[in-house]
Amino acid sequence: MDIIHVENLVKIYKGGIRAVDSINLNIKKGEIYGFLGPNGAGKTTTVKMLTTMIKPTSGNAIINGLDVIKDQAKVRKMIGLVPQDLSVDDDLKGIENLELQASFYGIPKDDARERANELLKLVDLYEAKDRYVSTYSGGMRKRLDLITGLIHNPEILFLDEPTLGLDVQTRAKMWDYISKLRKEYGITIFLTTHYLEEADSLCDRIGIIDHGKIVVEGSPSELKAKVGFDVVDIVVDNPELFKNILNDVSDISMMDNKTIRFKVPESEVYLPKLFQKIYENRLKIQRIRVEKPSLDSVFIKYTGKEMREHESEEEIMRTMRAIRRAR
Amino acid sequence: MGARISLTSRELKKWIRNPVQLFITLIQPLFWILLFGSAFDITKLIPSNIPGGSSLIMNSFFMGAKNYISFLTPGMLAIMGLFSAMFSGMSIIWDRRFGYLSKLIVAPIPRDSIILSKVFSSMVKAIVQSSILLLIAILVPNGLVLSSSFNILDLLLLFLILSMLIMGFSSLFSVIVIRVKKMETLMAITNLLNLPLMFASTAMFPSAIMPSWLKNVVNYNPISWAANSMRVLVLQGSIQWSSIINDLFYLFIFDVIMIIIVFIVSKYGFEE
Ligand SMILES: Nc1ncnc2c1ncn2[C@@H]1O[C@H](COP(=O)(O)OP(=O)(O)O)[C@@H](O)[C@H]1O
Ligand SMILES: [Mg+2]
Repeated sequence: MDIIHVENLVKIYKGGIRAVDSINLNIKKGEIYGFLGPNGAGKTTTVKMLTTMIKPTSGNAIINGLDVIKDQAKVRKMIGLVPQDLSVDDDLKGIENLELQASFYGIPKDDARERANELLKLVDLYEAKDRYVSTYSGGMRKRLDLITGLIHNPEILFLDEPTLGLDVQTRAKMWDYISKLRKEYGITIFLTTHYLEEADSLCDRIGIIDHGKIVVEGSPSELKAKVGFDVVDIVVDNPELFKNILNDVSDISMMDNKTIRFKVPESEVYLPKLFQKIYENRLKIQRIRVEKPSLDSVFIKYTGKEMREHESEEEIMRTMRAIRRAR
Repeated sequence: MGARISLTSRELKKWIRNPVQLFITLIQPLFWILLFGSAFDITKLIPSNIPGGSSLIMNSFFMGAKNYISFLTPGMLAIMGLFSAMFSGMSIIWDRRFGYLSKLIVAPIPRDSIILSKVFSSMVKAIVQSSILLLIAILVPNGLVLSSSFNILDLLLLFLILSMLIMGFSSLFSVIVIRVKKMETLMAITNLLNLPLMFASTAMFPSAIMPSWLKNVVNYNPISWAANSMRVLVLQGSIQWSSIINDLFYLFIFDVIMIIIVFIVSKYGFEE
């Protein structure tokens, strides 16, 4: 049975904004599922509905067999949420944040402390646990936020843009921590992101969401396969002869005097056959390079626009938020 | 009960670590006590050459206070309660602004605990603050003169009355701001409410000298109930039940109604 099962989920905000427009989801236990989409696509709204923060306008969402509306209280016990915006208390110490969070779930103090220490070590915050969070860096805060969502050992963890606003290195580290969590606890993770690389490197399955709708879904490699083509650049000693033996490929072109470029649906299957022919024809390969499609191309194909446009917009928002926070 | 207690202790921890809030809450009532109580001592207007006149007026208008500070201080305790309540209301907006509220909303805790932790903590804060305020009022030259029969029970009852006042008002403010996202909105609301609540009460002046239309308003103001009953305790001592039981009853009803509203509103109010 799927741990998250969503049917025709809709959220229309006051004022008629259709933030989430009839989405369906089936997520398996232990999976890392990623919602990839630009700003305003409806990611946070979906997370809010699945985590009982807001009520859907229509549709069903079943989490581990429990209805998010009818069994609100039980669902809350089972899930952890790390919201898009930081949600740790700056005026408390790191460890105090964790212990307070544990008290919400009725975890006895000793158990809470033990679990807190374990999690703190996992994300390399143990040394800083007795410091006030106000002295933490952005990355440290985000890590603390991540583990407060895990203090009660939830079945499912919701991560809403877990690396938003972090610099590239800190982001990569955050990915390591998230992968580690999955390895260590086998937890199911539902994450949202508008970073293609993030979805690509972390998720088992991705749903691309735009204007409240899932436009395409699949594993990163499936999605890339849907774009269709690997690009192969090859240099051989006799290009003319080589061109004659090429079949079942498209868009053959000469890049320079020597390099031939062509596109092929599945290079893994095609290239061994090609090598066989090259051998039979006594040609020699001097160089070969294969480029797999990126999620970028997937995104463009299904939404008709580039992800990057939105990123710069997000960059501005982030800066504004940072300024406001600095007061 | 767990989350109500742990969230209350969160509030108190933050309060102890950041004395600015204590200072701000105290400074205004202190200012009123020192400035109004000493500099603008309206009881000095009573001519002393009327034999027995001055004490007659002090008894009939000012509940037998020895000076204006003695009359004013219990009223200022009530005003301070109002400010504390306002602060606790504000802190829900902070929690929203700094994201903590979303953690609370997703947690399996009773919704009311989010508000009640503010209410309970502001009651504790008020007891500390009122002790400081009382002490200063007594220590300043020509300051508060307690009734000679004022005892520890009077003090405890005074704390209780103040707590009751705060319970009602911080519930009220919290419920008002439950959906407010901007600090500016809260400022506007509190300014709108605070001044009328403060002046249309017996916190600073006896109702006997007010016009009758104002008297009617004043008598329905919870601040007046708290100010009057605390005044009786401070100025007359040894708990004169008959003079305070009505005010206590009204405060009790005020609290019951506000707490019911908290339970109802918090159940649905946090959702967007
Ligand atoms: N509380 C709200 N009231 C009205 N509209 C909202 C609210 N929250 C989000 N929206 C709108 O819903 C859409 C989806 O927003 P959101 O779910 O936050 O997107 P994402 O998380 O993908 O950036 C946006 O158009 C946004 O403006
Ligand atoms: Mg979002």
